[in-house]
Amino acid sequence: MLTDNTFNADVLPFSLLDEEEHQLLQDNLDIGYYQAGEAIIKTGDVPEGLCIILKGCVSELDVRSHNDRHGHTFVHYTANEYFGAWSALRGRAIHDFVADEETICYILPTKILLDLIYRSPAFGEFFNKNLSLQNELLEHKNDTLNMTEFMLARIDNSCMRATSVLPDGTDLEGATRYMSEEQVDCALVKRGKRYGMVTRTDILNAIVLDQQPLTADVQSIANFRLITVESGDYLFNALILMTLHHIDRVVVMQGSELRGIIDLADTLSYFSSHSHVVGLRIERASSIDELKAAAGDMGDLIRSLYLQGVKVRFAMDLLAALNKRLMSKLFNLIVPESVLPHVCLVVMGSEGRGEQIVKTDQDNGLITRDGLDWPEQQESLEYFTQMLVELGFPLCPGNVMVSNPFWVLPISEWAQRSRDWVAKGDTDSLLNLAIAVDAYPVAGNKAIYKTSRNWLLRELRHKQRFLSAFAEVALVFNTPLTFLGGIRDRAAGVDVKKGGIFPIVQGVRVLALQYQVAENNTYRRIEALIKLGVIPPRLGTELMESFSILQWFRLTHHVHQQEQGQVGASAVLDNAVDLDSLDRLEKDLLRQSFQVVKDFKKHLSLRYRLGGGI
Amino acid sequence: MLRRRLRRARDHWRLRKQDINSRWLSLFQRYQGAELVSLDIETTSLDVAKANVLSIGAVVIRGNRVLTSEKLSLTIAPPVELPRESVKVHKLRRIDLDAGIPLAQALEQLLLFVGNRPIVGYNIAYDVAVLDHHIRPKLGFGLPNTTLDVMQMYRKKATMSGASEFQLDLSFTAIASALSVPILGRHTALGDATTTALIYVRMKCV
Repeated sequence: MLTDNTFNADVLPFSLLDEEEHQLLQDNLDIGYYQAGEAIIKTGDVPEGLCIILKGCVSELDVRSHNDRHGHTFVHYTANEYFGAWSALRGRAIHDFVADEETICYILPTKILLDLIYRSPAFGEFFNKNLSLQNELLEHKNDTLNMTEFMLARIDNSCMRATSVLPDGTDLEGATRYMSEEQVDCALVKRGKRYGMVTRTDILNAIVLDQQPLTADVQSIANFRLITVESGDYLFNALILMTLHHIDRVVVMQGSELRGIIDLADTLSYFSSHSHVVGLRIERASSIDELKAAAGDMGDLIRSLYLQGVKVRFAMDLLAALNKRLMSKLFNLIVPESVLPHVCLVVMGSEGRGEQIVKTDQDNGLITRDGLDWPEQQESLEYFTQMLVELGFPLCPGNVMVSNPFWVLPISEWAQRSRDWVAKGDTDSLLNLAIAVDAYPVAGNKAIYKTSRNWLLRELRHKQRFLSAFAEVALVFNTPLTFLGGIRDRAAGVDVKKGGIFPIVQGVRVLALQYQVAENNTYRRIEALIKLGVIPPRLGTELMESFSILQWFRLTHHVHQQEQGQVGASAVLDNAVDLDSLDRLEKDLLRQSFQVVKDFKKHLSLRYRLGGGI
Repeated sequence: MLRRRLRRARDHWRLRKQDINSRWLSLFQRYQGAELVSLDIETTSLDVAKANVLSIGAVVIRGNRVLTSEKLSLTIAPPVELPRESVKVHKLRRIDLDAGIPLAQALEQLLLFVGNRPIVGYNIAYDVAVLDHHIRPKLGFGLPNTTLDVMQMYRKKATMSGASEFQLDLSFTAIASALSVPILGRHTALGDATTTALIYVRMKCV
């Protein structure tokens, strides 16, 4: 076959097209030649279409004014990369696209681009301007991983319930009592070498329908035809067995030895996450050692959530809940019961916002009632901090911990100090306030925390000058757009925290403070701010999507760092994402997220009249 | 050059005399637009008299654009014998050509596609000579279009900027790589026509 096709369509998103669509693409491409310095698309022009570079290099520039022709460069595009899609879809170019060197590119007319988007859903999705669709596409990529995980999970202690066999001669009353005490809804009995199962329904039926006395032997109503699986078999097979036989439980055996029971609900929740199991363990722990064992599972949980492609936001919520339970449990184990009603343990920073996935550090403090008498206070709190480290929360480099008396204060002093910070307004004060504003109560008397928070919200909302200064903090770090897609600066890596996550968190925090949004979580703050009409809905949604994407990159990076093993559980993780490790789609997402961050910074600097560079 | 022009004038006169309504008369009109057509053909031989046309490729050039969306790509039904040597060059075997159309039909399509626009090609004199050789017996005229040869353009440019004419490599690939133009689908008519078009645009723009 003679092939006329010179265009390389193996790369995303063109690889998403089928043969016919592909031919349509080939038949409509033109080739443009541009000299170095020539503008291929100019801001405000109606672009001819999407450009795909065949050879050369193109930069995307933001030309702010006419005296400043050398605007801010966002991106460099090189061979096989495309540009101008957003401009083409919007109908008007949003930036200048200038050839850095002699450049030859294919031009796909907008009309054909739209045709293809219309014809091919996958292709359309890729180009859809709305970030959320792109985000889903990326999450979709992990589906295979998710499925493998599902198929390969094996039956072991983590997914089955230990069960004990009722002693011979137990009557119905004894069996019911046992189930009620153990909070289970079935029990096993043994006759000779055979096991039988009794459920609560069986007992109910025996007593109510068959009028059996409470003293009847439980063995008489037990079902001895059990469906069993071997320990070590695929969990998936257990699920199939239950579906086949319309039953809710199967018994796990190893040879002729009983190992436990698998419940249908457990199986399903196992696949949604191991969270259930971890949560149970934390709840049941009655000593610090047991807590440690439960905390040890959380590393696996994070990995499994990541592998299962659970949405970042839900993963955060889940882990925040688990972490809070863990800390609360530990606090209650260490602090004497007589002291608990007079103190309130708060977590701050990312933990306070419920946005910590991988445990990066512990930020916590203690608010006490004025005039509390607790002689062993310092000792206990130091021990608490130490134990948290053992549970996997690394020490806070900024020493924001209850072991530091600076963060342990009576209510009145908290208030006074916050006032001082506001008045002073220097970097340290602003930083401390940023931490303190996100405080969230986890243990002790929560009313104490509420008093101090309400005071803070009331105090801060009208302090325009402070709010401006506070907002300016969000602009401190440059958005690393220049490095992206860059052919030159790849070695540097991109700090997603400083470049993207921090500005969003800080900016949203300031707005939340000004409008008295009593939420801690960045998502919920944004949602509340949209409702109040403070942020335009579109910017708000894009902000949340970008935040998820950036967090996702950070999580990926952290998981990989931990996998590589050189980092122990308590070591400090960095946030420098290596661009080379990302594929085209991921780079695109990252770039667009940073673009949203930039828009948000602009929004902030207009609102608070900040002059600083963006 | 002069001979071609004279022959063109004679062709024009004859054609008008034969049939004042001939659809080919428009080919002789002076071209007013800004477009060109880059053309390349694959043949069975380098000898004009013996060469059979195997495929024809053409794309339109407008300004700094190569309009690959406005292209012509024709495969011609095979001649009786397909010389072994030519198969080695362009990898067109008999089975690749079986889907082709008759030469007469292909030539008509080509004439209608090119119209009176100027033709650009690499060593275009050869291509035009081969095409003329087949068109003239059928229609009574040769390709009337003005032609531009990128090889000559390149030689002129290179010698003007001081290169010695004897050391100059004028092969297609050498020119393309000297101008850092990517070679698209070498030895397919359309690929070569596209590459030639890029070479032309590249030289025209600088």
